[in-house]
Amino acid sequence: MVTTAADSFLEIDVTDKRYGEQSVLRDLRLRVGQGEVIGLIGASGCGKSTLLSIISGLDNDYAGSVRMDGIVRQGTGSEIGFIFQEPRLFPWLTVAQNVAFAHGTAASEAGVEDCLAEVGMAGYGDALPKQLSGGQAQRVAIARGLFTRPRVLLLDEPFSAVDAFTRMKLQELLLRVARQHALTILIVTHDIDEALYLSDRILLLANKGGSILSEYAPQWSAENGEDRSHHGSSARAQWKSKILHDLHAAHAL
Amino acid sequence: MTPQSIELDVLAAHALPALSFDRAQVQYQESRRNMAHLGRILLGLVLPVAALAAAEIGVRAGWIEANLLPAPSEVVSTLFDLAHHGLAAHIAASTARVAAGFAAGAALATLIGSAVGLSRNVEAILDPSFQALRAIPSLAWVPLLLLWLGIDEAPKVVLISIGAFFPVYMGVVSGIRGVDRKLVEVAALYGLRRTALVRRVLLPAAMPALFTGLRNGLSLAWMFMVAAELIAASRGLGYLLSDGRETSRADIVLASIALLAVLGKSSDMLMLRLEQHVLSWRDSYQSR
Repeated sequence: MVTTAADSFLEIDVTDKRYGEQSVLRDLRLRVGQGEVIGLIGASGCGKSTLLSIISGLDNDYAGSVRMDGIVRQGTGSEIGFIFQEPRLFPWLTVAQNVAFAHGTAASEAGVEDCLAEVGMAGYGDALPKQLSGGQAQRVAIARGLFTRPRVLLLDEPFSAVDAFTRMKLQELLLRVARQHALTILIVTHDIDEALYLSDRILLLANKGGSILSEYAPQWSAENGEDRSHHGSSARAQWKSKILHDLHAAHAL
Repeated sequence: MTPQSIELDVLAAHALPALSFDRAQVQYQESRRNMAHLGRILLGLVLPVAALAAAEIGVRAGWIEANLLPAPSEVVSTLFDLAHHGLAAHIAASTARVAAGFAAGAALATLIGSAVGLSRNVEAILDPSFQALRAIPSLAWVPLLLLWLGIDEAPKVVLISIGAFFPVYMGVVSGIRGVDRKLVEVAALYGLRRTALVRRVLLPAAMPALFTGLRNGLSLAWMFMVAAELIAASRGLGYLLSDGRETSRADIVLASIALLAVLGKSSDMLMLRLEQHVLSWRDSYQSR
């Protein structure tokens, strides 16, 4: 999907974000179209997670602005969901209460069961987080993210703590719900294969004082979007080696 | 292989561990666990039973002077004897003092501890003073309490509540301070305001530390009850202790000590039950 200025749904401008003396993000300008899936890669500490915090509204201590549909956002809101690296479920609440956390304690709402069904966790509403496996807990976290019917979903290395097989299942799940809900997605990942599989566009953040170093928009031919998943395909291998090469170059700086 | 080509059935195998087990297997494991539990209880009994038997034999054989260490059987008969002479009233008096003092101390500690834990300003105002007060050995308050409050119930209950206060206070403060920043971030993401954050995240998350404080506070409450009653009382187990000493009745002293042990242990068990019930969500080694 090629984005033009005209269909910029999210406009993110971070002129400066610093922790103390250290500048983490500088002159970062990002335009995201509705329904686009953006993969964010870069070395540890390059500000990827900080960028997600800023977009979500959790971090308001920066110079710049985040606009959605042209309107400047202030603070957090139900239209932007956030999935963290860990499930971050509240251990004293049941699965259903966790999913409905945004709506207070009323966990009996029908919406909860729908969300759980959507992530393959139907019938787990009364379970406690301690009874879930890591993959299951992350599914519940995704259900909680979907519960408020967000338009944007931010994910910070969401699948890095689960085994390779569970990761594939969760990646499929993410793409499926993204299509169903016409979600716009920004996902931080260390895994280039994951970025290639999920993203319409991949952005490489610069190592120091991060701005966007390079951008990749792999075109997976005119066929259906599924083709990008072919690990063996030569186009995919070429993209991967190109991105790896750039990552190495960025680290060397 | 593409991710899509992998069968979806595997999801079914992810069902809850307890649900996927065969019922017979669950019962088998439960009975095995019960057996192991019973075995541990029996092991724990070996030492006290051996000591009691040694004391009984030693006294009867004349190796130990009976007026210093009465035979366990004599202590038991003293207990029965006391039971006919108002032992219940002594136990009730002591238990009531512990209950009142612990309730007052723990309630106050929970309130003040929450305020200190939740507000840096309140902490700046109160915490240094409480830390200083905590450094005072609590028994040092006794003369002052007697001067101020006389020798009635009031100084005893106040002393017990001082004893119960600090462990609970420390538990609540450290519990709130120790709440996982990551959970607080989730609450912020969902726009929880201060009061909702406290009610829905900080207090539930601080519950395990609160219960640790409550259990420590309860055991200290029993300790301070004895101290208060040893000094000035006409009823209670502490009074029985000092009465037994004054009349050179080691059997009464030992009987009172045994009763204190039973009462302390039972109240701790009740608190543990409550803790396990309230904190059943906890995913820890102990609760597995």
